[in-house]
Amino acid sequence: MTTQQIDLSEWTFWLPIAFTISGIGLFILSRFWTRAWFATFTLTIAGVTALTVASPFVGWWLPAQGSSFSGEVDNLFLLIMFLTGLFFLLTEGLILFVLWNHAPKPGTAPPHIHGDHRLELIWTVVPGILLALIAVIQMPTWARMKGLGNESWLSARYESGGDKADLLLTVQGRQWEWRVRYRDPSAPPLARPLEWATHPEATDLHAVNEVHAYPGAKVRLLLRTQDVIHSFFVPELRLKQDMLPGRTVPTWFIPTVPAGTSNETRWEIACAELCGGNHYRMRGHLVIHPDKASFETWYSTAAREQSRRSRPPETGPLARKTN
Amino acid sequence: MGIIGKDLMPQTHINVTWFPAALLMALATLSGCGRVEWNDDLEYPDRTSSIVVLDKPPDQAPPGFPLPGRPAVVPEWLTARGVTLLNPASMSEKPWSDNWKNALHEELISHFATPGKPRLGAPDAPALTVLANELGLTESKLAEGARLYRRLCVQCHGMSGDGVGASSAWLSPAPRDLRTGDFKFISTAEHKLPSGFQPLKARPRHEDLVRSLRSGLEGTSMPSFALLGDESLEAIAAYVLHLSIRGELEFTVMNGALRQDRETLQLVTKSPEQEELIRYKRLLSTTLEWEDPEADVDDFVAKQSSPSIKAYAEKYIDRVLREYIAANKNPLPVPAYPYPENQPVPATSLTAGHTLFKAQCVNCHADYGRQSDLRFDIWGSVVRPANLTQSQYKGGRRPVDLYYRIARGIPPCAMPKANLGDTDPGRAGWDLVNFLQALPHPDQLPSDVRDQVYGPSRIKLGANP
Repeated sequence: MTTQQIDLSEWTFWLPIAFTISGIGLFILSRFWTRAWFATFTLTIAGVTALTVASPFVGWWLPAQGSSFSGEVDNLFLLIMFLTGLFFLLTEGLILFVLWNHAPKPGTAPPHIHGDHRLELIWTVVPGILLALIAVIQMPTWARMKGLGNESWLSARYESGGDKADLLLTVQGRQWEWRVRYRDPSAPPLARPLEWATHPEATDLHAVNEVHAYPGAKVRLLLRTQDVIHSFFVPELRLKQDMLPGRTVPTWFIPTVPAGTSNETRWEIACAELCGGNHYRMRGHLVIHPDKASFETWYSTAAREQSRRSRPPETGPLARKTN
Repeated sequence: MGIIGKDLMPQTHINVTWFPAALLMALATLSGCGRVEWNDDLEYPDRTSSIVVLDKPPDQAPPGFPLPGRPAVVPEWLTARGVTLLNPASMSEKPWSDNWKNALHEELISHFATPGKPRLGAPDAPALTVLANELGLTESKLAEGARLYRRLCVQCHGMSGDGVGASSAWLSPAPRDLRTGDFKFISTAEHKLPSGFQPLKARPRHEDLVRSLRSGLEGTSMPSFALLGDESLEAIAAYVLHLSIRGELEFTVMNGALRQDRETLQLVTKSPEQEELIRYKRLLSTTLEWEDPEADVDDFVAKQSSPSIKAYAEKYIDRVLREYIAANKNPLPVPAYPYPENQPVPATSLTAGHTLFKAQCVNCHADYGRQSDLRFDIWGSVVRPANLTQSQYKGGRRPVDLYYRIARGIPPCAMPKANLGDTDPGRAGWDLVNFLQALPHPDQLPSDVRDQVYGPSRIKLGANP
């Protein structure tokens, strides 16, 4: 079998060592300098805050917005980020104050404090109200994303109304790939689209690891898995949905901008649920064609290839030699 | 310093020294995961797994036998059914020299080198390198293929292509053992040879290998690698051929040596009929582009028979490479589709296909594959003929893929090619393809056929009693 070699030029090798050595150093330092912990925490909090504030300006922020609801999701994210950031700075400030003000003084016994009911009441009720607020604020977005909102083409139980979707496809996860099946867009609509997920039709188009759509298309996805739990995640769509064994899980999105027509603009379909040894390799591409016409060109080309009744063009060294 | 204050100072903590040290050691074990190439000093392991000899294969495995798709690993069970298992470790006979095993090892190293620096053809056998390059097995491509294989394939297919990588024990069907040179899904036309001669092995074409990599094998654990791009897929295909040819040479030599059968170790069996031999020689000369077709027959046989492993290995690799090149130039002809394209398939075609299916295919695909009997493939694995009502096709779902399977068969699984008759084999082939494509979809079948396949009066053709 193969042996792992330690590569000393890899920074990942030195990172935990550097981390541990600085930890030991801190222990030793704190024996001689009573403000060592205050200094460490100040540096950490200042660093984290500076990184967070600088992130949007150096491109370490959210990926591009690609679906009809990605803006809403981002607004929720920013709201929660603001609230938690505020309280992070507040509580960390208190910690710094305590570290500075109550650093051990040799020869002096520190005071013993046994709780404060009023204080505890405040720091329980205030976050409780905030959490309830967040829960209420996110409800319309959640309902819309789950198809419980007022979208006419998505009925409450996904059972009917399948005729309103522009594209109907099943994505079947398995260790470790996405198997995609499209329903022919020109076929008559289905009364019960959920059943189609397990009953393929002869005109279906089969593909692997590639989902195609176009801006404005109402894409209805029926997610299934062949083995373990996977999760269909496209960061740009702000769409993440688990696929559970034995169940058909419906979800949807409406792409807003073209993407994936070149390597630079490629959007990744990543599995967001640890699903086994090669989980990291379970990835696909989402291609949003510039318009409906180019999507249809792709679709008919792929469908023609799938119904190929003649020898495919040659590949390989011998074929290239004759070119 | 008071007693209470002393308690608060960290200098009295006894863990200070050993805890970070333990943490350091634990973290250090997580490091060093960056390298993904083979080590330079790594060699391919010699074959240790048994060689399965199916001279007279048992045509059926009884119901209840271990999982279909897995190797039949119970030796007593196999030998009781006429299967011979040859264990490379039990080899004591010495057909060539005292040290035949080492000699074989030396030859494998010199022709195929190591996983870190793979090549095909020893430096002192430039003719092999020329052939390998013609097949696209250049050293740079093999190196790239080995790198990708190390990253993506070795978990299942193993370092030497033995099909017993780390995760193979949990997979059904088991990953392919590449070391016999057999491939299932091929689109190569058959070479017809006179009887009495070793037939040419069914070699895959380059595009067959790339197709399997690009689309994966639906219904197995083999995923699609399409996102790597065609260049990478070709490099992997080249490296797979490298592994396969290496394994095949090892397999053949061990097989012959273990059976103490010098005939096996000759590339051409000598036939009493000189006429036949001349025809055979001519055929090989043209299809495999062997040199000096005019040389006399005895000389030809002598040349292809081998006194030493060294000479044999060179000849064998030469022959295998020529067979692969010939396969690439010899695609299975695909007859033109006899019905109008882009139109619904005529019911007569489906009925004709159904009749053909009932006449031949049900012998193995009992009840349209829903009640198939278990069988053996040449690797000694238990296999189940496909359930054709499921719309799941390992070798690809394009009509042309189904046509290849029908017209060429799946040689390693003893799936014969269909007998399409003499009058209009092209039409018969496409009738069968059309029927197979409609079979999983009851609404596509004519009503009488649908009744026979799915109806209450369903005839359980060829089913187990």
